[in-house]
Amino acid sequence: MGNEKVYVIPCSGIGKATASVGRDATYKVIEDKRPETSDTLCLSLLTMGDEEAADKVRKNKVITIEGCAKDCARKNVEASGATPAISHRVHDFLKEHRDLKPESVLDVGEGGRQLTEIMAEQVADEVDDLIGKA
Amino acid sequence: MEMEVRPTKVGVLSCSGESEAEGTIARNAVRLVMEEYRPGIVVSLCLPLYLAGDSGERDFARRVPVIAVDGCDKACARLATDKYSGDVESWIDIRDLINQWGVTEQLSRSHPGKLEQELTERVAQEIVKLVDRLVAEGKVEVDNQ
Amino acid sequence: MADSRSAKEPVEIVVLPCSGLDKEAGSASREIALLLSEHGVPVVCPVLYERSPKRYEKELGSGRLVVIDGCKTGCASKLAADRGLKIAKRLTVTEAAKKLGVKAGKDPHLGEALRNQVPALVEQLLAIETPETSAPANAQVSFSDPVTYREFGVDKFVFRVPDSGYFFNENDCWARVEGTRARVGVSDYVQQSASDMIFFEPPKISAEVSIFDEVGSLETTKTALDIICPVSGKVVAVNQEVVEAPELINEDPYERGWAVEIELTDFEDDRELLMDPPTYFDYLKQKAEKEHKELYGG
Repeated sequence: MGNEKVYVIPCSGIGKATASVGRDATYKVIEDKRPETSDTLCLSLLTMGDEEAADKVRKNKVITIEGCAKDCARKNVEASGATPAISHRVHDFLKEHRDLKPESVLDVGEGGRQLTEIMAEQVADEVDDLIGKA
Repeated sequence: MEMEVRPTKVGVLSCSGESEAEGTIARNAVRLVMEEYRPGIVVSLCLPLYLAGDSGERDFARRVPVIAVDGCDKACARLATDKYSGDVESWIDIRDLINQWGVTEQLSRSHPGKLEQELTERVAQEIVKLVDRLVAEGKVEVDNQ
Repeated sequence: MADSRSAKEPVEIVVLPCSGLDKEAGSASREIALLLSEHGVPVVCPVLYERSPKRYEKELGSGRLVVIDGCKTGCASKLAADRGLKIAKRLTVTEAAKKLGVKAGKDPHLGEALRNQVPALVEQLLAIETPETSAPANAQVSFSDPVTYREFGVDKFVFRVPDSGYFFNENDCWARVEGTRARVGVSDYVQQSASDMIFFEPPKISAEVSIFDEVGSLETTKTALDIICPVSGKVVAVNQEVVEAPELINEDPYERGWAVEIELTDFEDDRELLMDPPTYFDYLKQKAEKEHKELYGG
């Protein structure tokens, strides 16, 4: 305990509105809901094999949030020698909230914002669970 | 007679780094260029797919000139292009640019306000200049309208 | 509609529950598995299976695998995936309980509220046995021959078309014919253009369809579209995997991502209106390049 944090890592996808939802949900968790117990890091650092970033994911619990089924965040975390404790896809949340489709990459719209909040709430609970297990 | 086949697109790769405000600016600036300023010429490339995806992104980046847009001097986008598909045509380091512009305020990665939007717009224009230069130099073939 | 079952009547499913001891959902997972065993369903102990996979070879070969995860950490699902097992149905207790209005708690003891929902959750899992949505066991056709592909690229997108054995309509839907049956789905071009699939609404089993009728609908993060049937006949099966995980269509649009199986009535007639793979390849290449130019200018 103490300094341990859960790293919430979205996929950095630039092509899909669902990736924007994942990114926004991450920010909500690490800045608003669980700033003491969660953080993020740039996925591109893992892609480039940055050792400091890789060390963080190896030594802490990780939740990944994917904008699509290509699962880039999970795969990049795994390539760094770690395994996410939990992997989410924004689509799975969309399936349960069909009316909350995000509108565009640059502006997810009202539906996207609501979906973001729902995801962030769940991920925040999961951060609590994972920290509790430390 | 051999004819040189020139690419008709410019690939722009953004770092999209989540932990830094400049990563958010990079992502949004590239989208602006792609959607509004140079649609049909600019194709955005997805950096995490370089490692996680099939070879589509990397192969495409080998066939077209690539502009790398990084949030900071860790230069993930530029290094990824070098590593996976060849030299970049041009590189933008947003943090360096912002320093040159004399911006000293703390920027937000998650709630882009007026300042962040202005900076995004300025970075987008820098990208547009690089795209236009490639077209002017004949490195990209664009249909005349 | 689940058949009613008496205790100890054998059923063709086998269950792999999680063994979570740190929260209520794990205890519920165990309770559901125990109740299923009273219905004659073999239960795979995840801890023993992890150590000695061979121990459950017979059970895992005897029925369709149902996985029970206590929570979204998905330990049982991950174990099944690691062992290369095909999951026919997955239940996540926390999610299923939420839909029934119960929140699984942090105390590992199974509380009354969640315990009372266990029979309903068991019934959900037993309902998988409904045969209507599966291809009948005595189907005389096999769609398992390997498929080879041709590809072409437009910008960074690469589109695949099978080399042979498929027929296409101009709506980019395909039929793969084996004997008197055809499987129907959407092409790689559709799944890439329409983006990530999130819902598949299948047709009814036994529905009669004519060529060009709608035979199911898809919703993606970008749009909604109908599957336009390339053949005439009767719907005899729906791909339940795709109903539960429509993203399979994105991952494997021509093989695992098939949507519907049809008993054909007059394929020779229908065939005259369809494109074979080489024709479709050329057609699609022109279409993709033209549409891309129109969409993105340049």
